[in-house]
Amino acid sequence: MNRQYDFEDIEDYLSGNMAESDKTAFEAALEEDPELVARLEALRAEAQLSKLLRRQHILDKLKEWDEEEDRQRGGSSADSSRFKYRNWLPYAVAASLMALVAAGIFFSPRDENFVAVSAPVTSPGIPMPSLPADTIPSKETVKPEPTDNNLRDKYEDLSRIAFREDNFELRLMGAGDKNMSAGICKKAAELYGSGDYRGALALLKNPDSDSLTECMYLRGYVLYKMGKYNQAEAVFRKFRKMEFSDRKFDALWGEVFCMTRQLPASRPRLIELLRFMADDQEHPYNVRATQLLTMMGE
Amino acid sequence: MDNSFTNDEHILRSIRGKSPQLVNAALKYLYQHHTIRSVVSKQISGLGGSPDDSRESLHQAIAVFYTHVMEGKYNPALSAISTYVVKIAVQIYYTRRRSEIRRDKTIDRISEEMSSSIFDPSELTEMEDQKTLLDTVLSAAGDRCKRLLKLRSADYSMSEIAEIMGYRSQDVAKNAALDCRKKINEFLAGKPALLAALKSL
Repeated sequence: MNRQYDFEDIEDYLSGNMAESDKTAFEAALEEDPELVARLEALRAEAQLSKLLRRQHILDKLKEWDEEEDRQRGGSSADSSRFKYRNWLPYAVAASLMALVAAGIFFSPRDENFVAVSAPVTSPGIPMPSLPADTIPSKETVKPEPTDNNLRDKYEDLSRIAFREDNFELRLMGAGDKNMSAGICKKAAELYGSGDYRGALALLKNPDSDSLTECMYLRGYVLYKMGKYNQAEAVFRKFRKMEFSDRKFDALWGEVFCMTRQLPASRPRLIELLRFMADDQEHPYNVRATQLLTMMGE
Repeated sequence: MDNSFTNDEHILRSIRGKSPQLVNAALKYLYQHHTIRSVVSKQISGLGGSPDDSRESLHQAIAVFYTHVMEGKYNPALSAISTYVVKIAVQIYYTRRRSEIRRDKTIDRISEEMSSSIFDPSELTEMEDQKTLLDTVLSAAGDRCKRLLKLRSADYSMSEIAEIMGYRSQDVAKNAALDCRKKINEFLAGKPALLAALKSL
């Protein structure tokens, strides 16, 4: 077919690379030639096509990664065992314990950091089973009472390993634009980030209802940083009563790291809680709980 | 390449950076993250789904998440990436199975949560329609073109495409890409209904 304008000409026109005189002629041709219009529109639709292609490329890659995992496992591509959490988790636990012994580390920086910022993966539709140890000693701060330096060091190690920092400022970025309460929480997060825990706590006394859980979760951290471990634990414990919360599992771990700061007095309830998490193979903190129990000689 | 991602911001930066290697690494990290998988698996099995359902839903959720990031629909201040991906995956499964699942108490609770959801269920129907549309358009170009254009859309450079697809040089790959685009252009220009559907996306 003898055409006045080819594909490259149409592309030049759309990208603004056509000389002004040619452009006038091209536009005149468009008036006369419906086929040229159709080709122009088809080229314009490339952007949409590209979007679909990109998504398809991602889906292809995901299948490729499945196959890669299957090859590593020695299974077939139809094998979905990686999604049968109960099947592979014990192996993951075993592997991490082996890595623990070999490398002398407890949590990989990659997992630690990722979960620290983005961990609120929960199953809001699935209520948690009843939890153990619902009583906390009434003392505000239970200090460790180590009998010797080695024990004190051991408790310190446990506390350091159990604690996971959270990036509240990143999480609440932009939240202040939405409403006042989110602004309070965001401001408190900023104070927390700067180490002004007293200021953060003062702000968090009056959180608004629509950001209550996030403010409450932050309050647990603030109290922990202030050394009020018992109070912090009580705040984290309140999440147990919430049927749905993004922070439910994370708050349970909050209880754990508060308890590690109250050793040896908190040992029975800490062991009980860790066992509860370790026994539930689908609990997001199952591996960590198992690791901590091992470290405690349980 | 260092595939460790220290936080959500790092993941987002990698995805938005458009380097195909970084995008792949970030998405692979998310896809293989044990917490995301276990929660998706738990929630979908709670709705009666199989491990295959979990895998398929998570595939779609990762792709939707990527699209939402690129289109500015994902707001990190409102939801952590892991929460976002899990919610989309569960909703995708829920949407697919809605008519089949018995409406018990658990389902009602989930429905309530879905009402303020981040993922419009109609997106799923659209995605399925779009897949059919894409297959139809690409059928005109052939498998090799399909592969080449997918790589091109994912921002691979011509020299990378040449290497992946076995072309002698990046110029050869570039010419091959041009030929593929011309084929598709011709095909679409002659199919007004298809073109209209594509433009309406």
